[in-house]
Amino acid sequence: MKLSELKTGEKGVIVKVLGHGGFRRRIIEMGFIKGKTVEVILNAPLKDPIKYKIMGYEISLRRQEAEMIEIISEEEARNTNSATSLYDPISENIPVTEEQMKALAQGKRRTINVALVGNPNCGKTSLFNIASGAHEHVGNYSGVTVDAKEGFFDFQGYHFRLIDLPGTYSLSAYSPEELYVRKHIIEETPDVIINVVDSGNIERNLYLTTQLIDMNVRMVIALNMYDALQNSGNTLDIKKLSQLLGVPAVPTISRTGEGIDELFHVIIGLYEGADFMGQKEEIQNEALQEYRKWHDAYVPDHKYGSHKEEENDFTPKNFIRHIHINHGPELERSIEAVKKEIGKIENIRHKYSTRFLAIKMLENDKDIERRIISDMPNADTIIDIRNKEAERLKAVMNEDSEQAITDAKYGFISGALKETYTDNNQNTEMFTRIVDSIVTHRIWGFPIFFIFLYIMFEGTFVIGDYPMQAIEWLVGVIAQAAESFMPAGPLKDLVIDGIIGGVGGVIVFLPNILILYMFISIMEDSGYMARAAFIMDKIMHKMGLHGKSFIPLIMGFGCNVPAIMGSRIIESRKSRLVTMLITPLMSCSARLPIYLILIGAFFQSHASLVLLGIYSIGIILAIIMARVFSKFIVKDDDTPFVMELPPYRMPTAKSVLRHTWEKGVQYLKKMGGIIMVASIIIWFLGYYPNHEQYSTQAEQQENSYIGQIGKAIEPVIEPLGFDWKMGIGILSGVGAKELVVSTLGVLYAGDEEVSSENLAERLNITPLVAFGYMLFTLIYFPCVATIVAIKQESGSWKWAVFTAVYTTVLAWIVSFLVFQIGKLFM
Amino acid sequence: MDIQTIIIGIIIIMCMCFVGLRIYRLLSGKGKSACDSCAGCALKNACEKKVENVKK
Repeated sequence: MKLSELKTGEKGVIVKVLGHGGFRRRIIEMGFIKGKTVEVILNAPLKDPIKYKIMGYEISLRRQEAEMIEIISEEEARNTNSATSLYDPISENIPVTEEQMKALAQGKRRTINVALVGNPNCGKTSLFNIASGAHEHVGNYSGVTVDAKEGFFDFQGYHFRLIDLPGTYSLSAYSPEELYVRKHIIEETPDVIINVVDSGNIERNLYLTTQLIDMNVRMVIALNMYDALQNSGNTLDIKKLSQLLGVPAVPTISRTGEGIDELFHVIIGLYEGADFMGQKEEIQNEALQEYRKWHDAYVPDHKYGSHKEEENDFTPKNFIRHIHINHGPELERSIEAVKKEIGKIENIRHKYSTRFLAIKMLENDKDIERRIISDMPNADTIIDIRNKEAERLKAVMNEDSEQAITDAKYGFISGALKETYTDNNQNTEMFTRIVDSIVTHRIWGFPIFFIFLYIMFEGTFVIGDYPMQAIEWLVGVIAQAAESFMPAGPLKDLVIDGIIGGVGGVIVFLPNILILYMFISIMEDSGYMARAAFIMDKIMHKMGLHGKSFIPLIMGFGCNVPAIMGSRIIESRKSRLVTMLITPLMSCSARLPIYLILIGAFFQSHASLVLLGIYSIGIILAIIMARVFSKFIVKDDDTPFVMELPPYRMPTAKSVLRHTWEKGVQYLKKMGGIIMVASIIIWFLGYYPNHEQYSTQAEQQENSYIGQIGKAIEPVIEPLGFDWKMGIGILSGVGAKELVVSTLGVLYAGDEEVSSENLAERLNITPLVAFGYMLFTLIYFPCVATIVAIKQESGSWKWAVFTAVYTTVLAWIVSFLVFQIGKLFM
Repeated sequence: MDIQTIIIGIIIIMCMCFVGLRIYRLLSGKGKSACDSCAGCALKNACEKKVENVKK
């Protein structure tokens, strides 16, 4: 019976918890664990919620939630006990001990409801027949127009009720079969689902698997007709695939019965263990002990642990975990918006995964909309949000949301198979496969990636040069105008040297930054960035870093703050931490003006190559530091994940321009805000005290406040070849990296026209020092916003301070080595 | 003290207040969300979600 059927004062023992994974986990975490005694304390006036006592605690549950918990009541236990002996007098008052009830609950629990779900012709029915074997009892369950077969059999002390559901390609609401299968999974809540996959057609079959993953059901994959795959010469890394999907996969051959025993072993393990994982995803001792005891008693031919699959089930984590299929940032944003609104209604959460409902809504699933959503009080709002999001997706992605979700799912499958499946018979390659075979090639992939980066930087320099010259000219005109119209005095100096010198020195790089963003946007939208992440993923793995880390790291090219926040996609806390620590080494766009100004002045003939070198050094240092941190400071096991490979798509002008425009607006806001304010402060500190008392500007600056600060830090930066003005640039860069250039603009402002070229000429340094300075600004203290982001994400100042210190020390060491060693050759 | 020096004094005080306020907001998590720093970023949504979670 169900827990909701117990009356006040009655007791029962929990047999099992039904429902989707998220619900089960929450209920189990509350203490509703199999074999535990639960007592009804109080029924609320309207019989909802109900207060229970379990393990000494009092907990309230909604009636609908209690309906999902199967129990054995005292009365049931009494009836069962009295029925066992014909001679015992039947009495209502025969006391039933808790131990007896627990034993009965344990026995009842040994019935496992299993549903077979798979594509048509994947060998489901053969598997059903071979599994249920001679013991089968086949009945017919009629759906609307489809049937499901039911069979029973016993295996290793468990009683299996096997339901063979009709074959279906997906869980959308297009055909009666699809609807029937979906309804069965939701309404009947089978304990375990066997997702039968045709190994010969794995890519198409896994599409259904991704939908089942969305539903968060307890599942095992039967890689059926595995012999066909083996004979074809193709190979599949089953263990890896299981890890990536978070679902155990077992190769089976229905025709011969091979792998069937192993499959049901895994099902028992999954049924008994999956909900009882600890935080580190290891099975809880209590559940494991009980399972072992049962196993040893009922399977006398071998001890627990002597089978390969038993070791696999419990020891390695990652096999049984719920993953979220990443549909890409735009779709995820829409899913999140719809899910948030659906999640407001608590009453449906016990039965449906809200994420699944949100995805289905975006797929325009009329059945879900009619049967579930329309009954909700906020149905109109949900549909409104869905419509708005669908329109937004259409505008941004140039395809409807349904198609976009399908593409994303195939992207996920493609990524998973790229890592696990080797197709040795590729004769029907599509465009994506051909391009992928080139850009993700294990040797050519890297040079191609760097060629793309080179093109990006070359474009940034060459195309950016024309608008840059125009802005420089405009800044010059404004400076001239101020020079002509303003009366001499400190206010004029403030406007020309402080504001125009500072802000004008940085604003000229706006076109370059916009072009860089445009290239990044095109690379992301076309699907190439995912390939770049894919090839880098292997290096990341080798370096002990989580593969997922490369995604936030790539984001770091734009700005380190969202990159650090983006590291939340990594489940493992320790891997997240390492990613956060190395993200500042990815050169953000704020550092670009520094490189442009120095490269423009000292390395004009090889500008793009030097810029590529700087970015590459950042990446290489990040990889090295990741290795160091994961080895010595934060150790963790790698959690596997699928790096999605979405199909190539022509980037839409709207999406690219939107990203670029937003970046431009943000850059200009920064110019009018913090950059201008900081430039004024730097100018003030360099102008006072006693501005009039010195004969030359250099002498005056040296004796100013900033000069004194600069002189104080000079001994530290002298071994790097930097003068005190460059030191002040470094100090101000702590606030924001753009400030380095604006500070240098203010400090090196002479009497001539203020422009970047002139500033570069005024920098009295050698190319070697310039290179060292670029490396220093690349590596040292990211910026205050990044440090605060690390503090917020890691939850403590410790790692934020550590990042600030290690990056600065590393920057000093690298620049020192470059300068000192370089001096020997120059 | 001439009028120009007084104006500069006022500007500097305003600038210092601006910087102080920015640092205070940044460290205390008050005011504008950190997501403003990544307006054009594809992860803005994830970032906003995080901020919402923090607020909750």
